[in-house]
Parts: sequence; C-alpha cells; structure tokens
Amino acid sequence: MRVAFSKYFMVMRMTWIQALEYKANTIVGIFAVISGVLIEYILWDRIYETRGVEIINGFSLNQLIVYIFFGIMVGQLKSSWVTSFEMIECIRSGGLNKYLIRPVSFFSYHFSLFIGYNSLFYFSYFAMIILFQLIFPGWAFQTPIQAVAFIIFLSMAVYLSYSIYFLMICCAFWFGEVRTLILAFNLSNRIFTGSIIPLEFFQESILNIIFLTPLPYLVNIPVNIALGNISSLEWPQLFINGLIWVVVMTFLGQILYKIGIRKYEGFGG
Amino acid sequence: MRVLVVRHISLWWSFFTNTLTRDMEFKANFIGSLIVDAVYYGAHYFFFNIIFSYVDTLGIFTSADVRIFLVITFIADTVYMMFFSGNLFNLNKLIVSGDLDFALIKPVNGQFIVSFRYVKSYAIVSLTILGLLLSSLISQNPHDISILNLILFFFSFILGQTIWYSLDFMIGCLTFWFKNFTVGGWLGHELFKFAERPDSIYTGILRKSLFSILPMALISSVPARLLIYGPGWNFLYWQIFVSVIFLLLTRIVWKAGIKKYESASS
Amino acid sequence: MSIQVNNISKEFKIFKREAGLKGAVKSFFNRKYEIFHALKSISLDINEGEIIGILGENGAGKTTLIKAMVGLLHPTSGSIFIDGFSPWERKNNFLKTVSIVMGQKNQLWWDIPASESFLLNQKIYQIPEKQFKSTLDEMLDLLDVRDKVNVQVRRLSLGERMKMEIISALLHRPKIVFLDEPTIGLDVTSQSRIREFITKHNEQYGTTFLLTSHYMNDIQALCKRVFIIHKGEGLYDGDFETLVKKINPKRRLQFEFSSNLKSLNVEKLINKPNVSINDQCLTAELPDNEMMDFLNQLFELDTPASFSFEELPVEETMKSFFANPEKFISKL
Repeated sequence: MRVAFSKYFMVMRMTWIQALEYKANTIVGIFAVISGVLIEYILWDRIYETRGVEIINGFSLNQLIVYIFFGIMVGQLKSSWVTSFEMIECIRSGGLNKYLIRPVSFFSYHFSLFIGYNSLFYFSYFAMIILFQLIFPGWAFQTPIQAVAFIIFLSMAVYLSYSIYFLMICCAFWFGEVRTLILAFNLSNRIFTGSIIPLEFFQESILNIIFLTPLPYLVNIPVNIALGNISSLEWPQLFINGLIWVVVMTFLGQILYKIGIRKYEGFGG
Repeated sequence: MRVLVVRHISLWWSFFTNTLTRDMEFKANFIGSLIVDAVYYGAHYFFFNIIFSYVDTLGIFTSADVRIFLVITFIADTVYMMFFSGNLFNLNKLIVSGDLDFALIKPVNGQFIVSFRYVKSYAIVSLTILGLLLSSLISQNPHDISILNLILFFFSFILGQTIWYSLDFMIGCLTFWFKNFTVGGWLGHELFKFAERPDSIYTGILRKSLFSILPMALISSVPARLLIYGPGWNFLYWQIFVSVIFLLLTRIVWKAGIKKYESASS
Repeated sequence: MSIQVNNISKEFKIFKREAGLKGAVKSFFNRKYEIFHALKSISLDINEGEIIGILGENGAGKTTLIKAMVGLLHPTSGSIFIDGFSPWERKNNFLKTVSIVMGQKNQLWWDIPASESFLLNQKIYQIPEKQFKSTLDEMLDLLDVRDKVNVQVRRLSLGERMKMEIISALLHRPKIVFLDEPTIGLDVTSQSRIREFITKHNEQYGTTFLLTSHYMNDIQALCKRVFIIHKGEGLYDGDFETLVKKINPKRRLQFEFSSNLKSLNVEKLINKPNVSINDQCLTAELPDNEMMDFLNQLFELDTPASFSFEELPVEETMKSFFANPEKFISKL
C-alpha cells in the first residue's frame, strides 16, 4: 500500500516541479478569482439596489459575494479538463499502451497528475482564504470544525469530479473525439454546480432535478459548509450521500473502462 | 493598396478552403461543436433568466434588450472563434516549438499568416442558427429597429471584433517574453467575461476601463446599443478610434516580439 | 545569387536550474543564466549553383548558421548578404528566392492531401498557373510520387512525406535552398532517389543548395565542397575528397591465400597494427606508400587466390575525424 502510494506521490511531485515553471498560470488563476468575483459583485449590487431589498433567497449581498468567491475557487480546483484532454488523446492515439504494459493504473496516474497540475492553485487559494479570514473574520468558518468539514467535503468534491470526468473520458473508446463533451460539461458546470450563483437561486423544479445528480456535491455543498449555511447536524447525512455518489461513480468508471479496454485491445491498439 | 487587399482576401480564401477540406473529414466535430455552443449559450441564457426573475431592467437594458444583447454576444463569440480564437491559441505552440519559422520565411506578412491560418469552419452552423435567432428577436423587440440601425450595428460589430482580436493577439504575443505562457487563452477568456454582461451595470472607474484600456464593452454592448437604440455617433467614433490604436499596438508588439524571437532562437 | 557570410557570431542566454523540487522553487524566484557562444566569427562565401555541405556534430551550430542565413535569427555581430539582401530584413523579394526543408519538422498539413498544401503555396508565393503546373508535374515524376499527391499526408510513408516536403519547398523555384537533414530516417532507396533529384535540379536550374546531413553518403554524392563547424567555429572549408584523403590516406587490401596458411610463415606480416587474418583471408589498412611494399612481401610468400583494394568507407573516416577534429585540422 505504501509503495503504491509513493509511486503516485512521485508523479504528483513531478508535476509540481512542472507547475512551478508556469508561474503565469498561478497569476491568471488568482486573477480569474478576483475578476470573476468583481463581475458578479457588480451585477448583484445592481440587482439588490434596484429591488431595494437586503436579503434575496436568504443571502445578503455580502454573503452572496463570499459564496461566489469560494464557489469560483472550488470550481477551479475540481475542474480537470487539461488532464482529461490528455487522457482522451492517450486513448485515441494508442498512448494508452504505455499504461497497460506498466504496473501503474491509468486512473490513479492521471488523478495524481490532476492534483499535481493544480498544486499551485491549492497553495495560492489557501493563502487567499487565510487572507480573507484575517480581513473579514466570522464571514466564513465561524467554527474551526467547519474548516475541517470543508477540507473533507472539498476532497470528496475533487475526487467525485474526477471520477465523473473519467466516465466521460471512457466514452472515447467508442466515440473517439469526446473532448467537446468535456468542454460542454465544463462550461455548464459554472452555472449548474453553483459556482457563480448559489443553487438556492434556481427555480424549485430545476433545483429538484439538480439534487438528483451529484452536481451539488461538487461546489454548492462544500461552499455552504464553509460559510456556515448548512447546520452541522446535516453533515453526516450529506457525507453519506456524497460517499454513495463516489462509490457509484468509481464503480461505473471501472466497469466502463474494463469494457472499453477489451474493445481497445480488440482493435490491436 | 487595392492589389494588397485583393491579395490578402484571396489568401484568406485559400486558408479557408484548405481548412474546410480538412474539417470535412471529421464530420462528428460539426455536431460536437454545435453541442458545446448550445450548452454554452444555454447556460448563459438560463443564468440571465434567473437574473430577470429578480429584476426587470439592468440600467437601460430591459429583459427583451438583454436577450438581443446575449445573442449578439454569442455571435461575437462564434465569429471570433471562427476567425481568430484557434489561431491565437496556437501562437504559444508556434513560438515554443519554433514552427513560427515557417510562417516567417513566407513572402507574406507574418502576423497575417499566424492570425488567419486556420478557419474554424464548424462555426458556420452555429452562426446560421444565431443569425436566425437574432432576426426573430429583432422583429419582436418593442423598439423600432431600422435599416440604419442594422448597418451601424454591422459596422460596429466588425470594429468590436477588431478590438478583441487586437487585445487577444497582444496577450498571445506575451509568449515571446514569457516562455510557456500557455495561459494566454485562459486570460483572454476571463477578460471576455466582462463583455458577457451589458455595459449598463458597470459604473465608475471600471466602466471607464472597459471603454478604454480593456475595451470589453466595445465588443458586444456597443453594437447592441447601436442596434437597439439607433445611432449613437459618439460610441461609433470612439470605437473607430480605439480599434485603430489597438491595431497599431499589435503591429508594434508583434515586431518587438519577432525581434525577441530572432535573438532567442537557436 | 551569391552568399557572403562575414564574421558572424551568435550568443545566447541559457537558463540554468538545479535539479529537483528545491531547484524548481529557487528558480521560481530567481533564474540564473550562462552565455553560450553558438557561432564564433564564421565567414563563408558561396557561389551561385554550388551544392555545399555543412558538417558538424549535434549542437555544433549548423542549424544556427542556416537560420541566420534565411533570416530567422539576428547574429550578435557580423553581416550576411545574399544577392545584396540582408536576410533578417526578410523582404518579400528575398523570401521568394529562398526555401528551407527540415527533415525533422513538417510543413505539410497532416490531415489533408499534399496537393492542397501545394495550392496554398502557389497562392502564397504567387506562382503563375503555367509554371506551377509544369514544375509540379516534373517533380512528381522525378520523385515518383504522382499517385500519392491526393492522399492525406498522414497516410504517406516517411519517404513519401519527405518527397512531398521537398516538392512543396521547391515549387516557387527558389534560387537558394537550405536542406537540413533531408534524408533522416529514410530507407536507402528513398535516400538515393532524393540525392538524384537534388543533383538534377541543381544542374537544370542552377539552384544553390546548402545541405546538412549526418549521412556521409549524402555529402559524398552531392557536395564537392564542405564547410565544417565545430563548437561554433569554422574548422574547414574546401574540397570534401581532399579532406577525406587527408584524414585517412589508407586503403583496404583483401588478400586471399591459395596455399594452406599453416605452411606459410605469416607471423612477421600480421605483427603489424591494422593487419588481421581470418581463415585464408588477410585484411590490411595501410597508406599508399607502405602498401606496395607490403604487397610485394605477400606475393613472395604465396600466389593469391584473389585480391582487391577498396577505399575506406567515408562514414568511418568522418567518425574518426569528429572524435578528435583538432588533431586532424592541425595536420591539414
């Protein structure tokens, strides 16, 4: 077990080294958060002013902006389209053979890559959250236990998101070019996971549909936990539900991958 | 001058037929890109529907106007994708791999080649659909939208594309100085988010910036204003001024970048 | 269309980084660099219609020199004139007269037939329709790829692809062509086909060719004159055959004895270096002046069943040259 882990840790470490080469990436990553929050702030400031109200759907303007601030960061951390594109290319061009003849798993190897690529975002966003906490104490993480829960739910979101991407990647065994699928998923995620607008703002009927999918666990729930919008009594139930999604998605992914590999080998790679 | 224009148009036509020949081979991509576009536009449309369930107007823009504005933004995005996006995204790769060499040793302006080499022909499908959508929205809009409005809109739209191209091109050229500046496309995308909202929500210094140094408001908001509310000559003059300045800037940045490239390549 | 290269030098900054995560973090904040001298005052004159080989090991500066001549990089000092043009001004009239083929890179689009890329080049170089047709026809026949011109480039073999690259580079009938490793990785038949083609093209149009290659057979077959770069410096400029002779003046003798070796006293002969015996056959590599003497001794010993002389393979000669170029140059 330890040996297996250290192997993937090396992969992660390699990508950290690579990530450090791309300073600009980090800068744009931070810019994306700040400008994203700014754009939404301007829009909602207008809306709150026009309506002349303090609270919309249980959110004051400040609470809403803090939500979006966290939402954009979590949304960035869970998005793995760069890694996904590489994986699809692997399947299409025969690069997958590399993994079949070596004692590494395609799934885990690229999961390490995904975490590694995002490593600088983890650092810089962590720093931004600390800074935020110092300037606006009490706006998020009212109790320390929330921070712990946030990290747990964030980890779950990152893994769950990756396993959903993996399901779509496996479609490449049958349809070849599925990058557009990833792109479409990625784009729609900004809205439908609650990254730039809380899911609470949606119509009841649409909200009900979204809660039948794993989408709320990707951004909305971790962020609401960080902000204290969900009482700690509900955490265990949410955790179990999330875990069920994790298990289902992993299981589906493994099955799809196994069937896909058989087809891939049938082709002779 | 005329010879030069004709030559470049005929060159672009060759680029287009060249890429179309290739794209025809991958028919699934036509459908794929249609799906992405639909999802992208759908998500935006959904978002503004939520917004307009809370308010009736955003500044001067009513909900019917914002619908037109949105479709114009989508058209701007699609046209941009068709002509420039892929090319400028590729710039980083060209510079890092040294394949820019091939563009530079052709007896054609290098900036022209790298900016226009690939034409994303798939975009035609989405563009047709959006065009139909826009004309139906225009006919439903309570404002009186005249032929003059349409002509001005068309002109202003092209100026908007020029400005966006110039800005994105200069961002792409940063690769000349920062090797591995792979985030150029991302940065451009983040900036474009300012253009995805009607300019009427911006105030103060941000508004001034979005009309000058980061002229995102000139890409889709100003064309939408001219279309819906008729001649706003000041907007148009300003747009012409900004696009000329920005286009000149691209020439300067490109030349400086090439100089850097020449001294660094091996 | 003559080329004059006067005293050009080229320096680069090379960024350095320590290995490992620590090094990566360090260089995140502070990058260190060294100056690297890629070319050190190189001078070279080339006449119209010449085929000249540029030789050197990997990293010696061949590509840098070629790039400076096409105008893709500024030398740090010195000047280049090609028919009165300074290459790095990249005037359209200059660019229309040069062309470059790089064996390791492709210009042709992967997913479309070569013919489409040819048409595009016709537009770019403004080649008149008639000239375009006749040039293309001629080259397709000479290189024997007429039936492949409408096949997607990705479906072509490496050799066919290279031939298409060459055609695409020559369509506008450039006066100077830079060929950087044009035969790399190709099979023997394709290599010789390309060589023949270059010779013919050179004779017919008086095109100047500058060629780099690691296959000495290419150089031997095509280039009368070579220019050798070593660590950025020009080491040799002159006749290739003369160089080879000077580096290795030896020839190889194969001598097959007719009598049984055991009955002969060959000990004395095989005591020399460069002489060996295998079965009934003796092989010796000796300079011409020693060879006659040695041969006489052999004839005294025995009548040969057969014997033959041959030149040493040029490939090996140049290998020994590049192992220690300074040693040979002092002798020249």
